[in-house]
Amino acid sequence: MRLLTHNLLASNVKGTTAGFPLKLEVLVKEERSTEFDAAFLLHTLPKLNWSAFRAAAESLGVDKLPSTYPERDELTNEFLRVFHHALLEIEVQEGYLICPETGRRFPVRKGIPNMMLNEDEVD
Amino acid sequence: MPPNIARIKDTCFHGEVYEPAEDSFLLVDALAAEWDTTFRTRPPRVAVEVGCGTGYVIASAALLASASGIVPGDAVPGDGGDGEIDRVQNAAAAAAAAFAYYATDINPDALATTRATLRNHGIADERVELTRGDLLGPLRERLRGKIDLLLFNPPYVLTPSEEVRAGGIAAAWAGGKDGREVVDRLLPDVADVLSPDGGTMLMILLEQNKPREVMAVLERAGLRCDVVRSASADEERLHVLRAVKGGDR
Repeated sequence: MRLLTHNLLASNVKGTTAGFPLKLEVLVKEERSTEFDAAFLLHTLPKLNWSAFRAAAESLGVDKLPSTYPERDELTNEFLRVFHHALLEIEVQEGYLICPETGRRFPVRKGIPNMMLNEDEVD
Repeated sequence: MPPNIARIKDTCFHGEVYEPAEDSFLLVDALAAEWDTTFRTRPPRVAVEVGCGTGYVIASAALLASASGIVPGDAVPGDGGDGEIDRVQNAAAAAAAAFAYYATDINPDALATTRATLRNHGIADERVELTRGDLLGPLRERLRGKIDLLLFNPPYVLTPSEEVRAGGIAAAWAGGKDGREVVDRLLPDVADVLSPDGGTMLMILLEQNKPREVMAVLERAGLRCDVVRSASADEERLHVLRAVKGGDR
């Protein structure tokens, strides 16, 4: 699971309203360089929830991202490199995603988040 | 078969995962046809396959996306947001379409198999991200109005209701009453998650699933529906239903 996906996942345990953002607890991560694609980055940026992304990036050790959504003049190549790295080059292999409302812990195993609910957790 | 779809010899198999069959081939055939028409100038940036099984279908979607270029001079559809970003994006639009695809399945063996299938086809892990979940479940809220392409080859076989929840490989085919019990759980979300500028769903249905009824439900939600492919296989009549939100076709 990369932060791209973390930014999309919400907990839908019975009783949650937003279930987002999920707190990220990282046990094992893997870093791997991937192809830099500015078009993709600029397309994805406005679709992200920035504060959720930034908080998750911090838990992966990336601390060079601006605290607020980047202004037009901040969209430098240097920014895009850091953004690319945080968004696509770090994979959480093992860890947990934690529902901000219920505390339900969703495991990430072998890079795949398990968001399945038990029968008594479904509306 | 067109060259840019998944290859059976590179598709992984697993005893507990539904193997690509006539329905999968029909769905991919309909998918490839979309790339020859609408998607050629407007490739789907965000695609989701619900119930990816071996990964044959989502791998085909990713291969089609990788091979499709954005025609030079064509406007890249914006997000209705910041015009500057759209302009920068247009300027940066490289040959390959920029995309992020997602696949879900309730069966962990299916996800492991899909990952292997994607890797066998040289599709980078970050281009198709996998989540274990029920239908759109954990992605539904955040992908509201953002899915350009939704793919679904549901469990559609008419079975007793209890088989739907039996688990294991039965989940890949057991559809309960009219083969519609799983399909009907997804339908209320479809119009909601498709992007308003031509978001498209392609879904397999059997004749016994009463596709006209399904289309009526989606049409009431404001989607335009048609049957784009039909075929007979194993005494079944298969259809690919297409549902489109907004856009200009």
